[in-house]
Amino acid sequence: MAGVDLLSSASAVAEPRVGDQSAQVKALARLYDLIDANHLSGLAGTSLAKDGQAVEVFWAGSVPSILRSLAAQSASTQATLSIISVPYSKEQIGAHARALIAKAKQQKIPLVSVASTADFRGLHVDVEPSATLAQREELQRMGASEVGESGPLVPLSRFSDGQPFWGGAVIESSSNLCSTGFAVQNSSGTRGIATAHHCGTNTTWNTPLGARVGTSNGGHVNSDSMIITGTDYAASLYIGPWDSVQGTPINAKAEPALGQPICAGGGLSGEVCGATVTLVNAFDAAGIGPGYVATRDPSVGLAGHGDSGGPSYADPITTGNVTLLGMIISADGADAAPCNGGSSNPWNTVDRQCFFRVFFTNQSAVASGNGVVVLTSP
Amino acid sequence: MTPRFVVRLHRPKGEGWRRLLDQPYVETTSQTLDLPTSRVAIRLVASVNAEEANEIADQFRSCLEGGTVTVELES
Repeated sequence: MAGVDLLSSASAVAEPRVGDQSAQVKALARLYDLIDANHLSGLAGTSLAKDGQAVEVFWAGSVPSILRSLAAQSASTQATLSIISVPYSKEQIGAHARALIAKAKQQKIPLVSVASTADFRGLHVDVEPSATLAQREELQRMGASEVGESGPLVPLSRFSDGQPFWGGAVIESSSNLCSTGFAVQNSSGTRGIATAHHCGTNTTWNTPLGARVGTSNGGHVNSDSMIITGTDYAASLYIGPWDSVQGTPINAKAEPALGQPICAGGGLSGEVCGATVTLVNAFDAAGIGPGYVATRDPSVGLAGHGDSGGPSYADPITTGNVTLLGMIISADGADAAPCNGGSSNPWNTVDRQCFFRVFFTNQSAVASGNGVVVLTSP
Repeated sequence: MTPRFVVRLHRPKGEGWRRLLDQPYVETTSQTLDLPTSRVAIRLVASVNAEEANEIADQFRSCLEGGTVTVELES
């Protein structure tokens, strides 16, 4: 199907606001529909002008007539497509980039990233600051049009999270290591992320790599919870092991039920499932609650030191959805079990203990105690 | 139900106190899962009276490299 007939007339549409890219996004959607429907090849990339109207399409090789027609039709719409000829398609750029990365690796050049230059006519390469002048010149001989510098890219993960922060990530203060629980919002719309009160109130929290997560408030003693605010937070949580880079949205929140299969997702232990709720309406020896106790077989700890504040949720295996239930709080010292990940998990130091039976506070107790609502994804 | 004494450790430093958790006068313990542990509640068996509870608290106190120890009658 050709996309030309999908173009709308500009006459009935108001001028775009500053920063409004909706017309450009629609134009891009039409462009990609046209390319897919007609199996066109030659696209190198696209670029949006800040005026909210112009869209540049960089194309390698002869421009198909159907694409020229789309561009011509766009002249009478809010977003104008202009086609610019470049030497390489995105597939060719990708092949050049991979070849350059392989050569740089052979020569031990500390390369950070490779991308198209802004004009789509060459390759922009970033290296770590430690790269020598000779190494930078060698990259240009390999085909780099531009050589810049940046710090090494670190993927967002449980131990190196970034904004918006998710639940199940590791956070540290000047004295403690804990985990984020789940995103919340107060009545004035301020977002935060819940964690355990005993981790330390009224203090600054960072990721282990030093990114600022925010500052904790005074919290709520009885539910052993507090709220960190000051940056951005989202209704998602990490799943998978201690070094996972994968997350999933929190779809719902609920109260725990006796016999319910659950998972815990502390930042240091990572996701551990296979546990069952054995007590509800529970309070720990410090009077913290209401909450629940979940127990799994002792082959692996459900949670351990450093997982405090982390989320607990209904085992998503059967439904695929994540239903938030509560927050990791405490354990009985007699219920020790090997920490998840064994020796391959670098958090499992000698001083760290894990437990197969763990006490959690209900997410509803955290919400009511702190005067917030727990955020879920639609 | 006989009231129990609870020994509470607040921000205990060091690891020596953990070996006392295996003593017969300990019924249950609850320790927070931060790192390092900031709060430990040690519920003593019913036969422990107030004087003995204070002696047990002193044992924990002597094993700590920092932090505080309190004794409370379980409410």
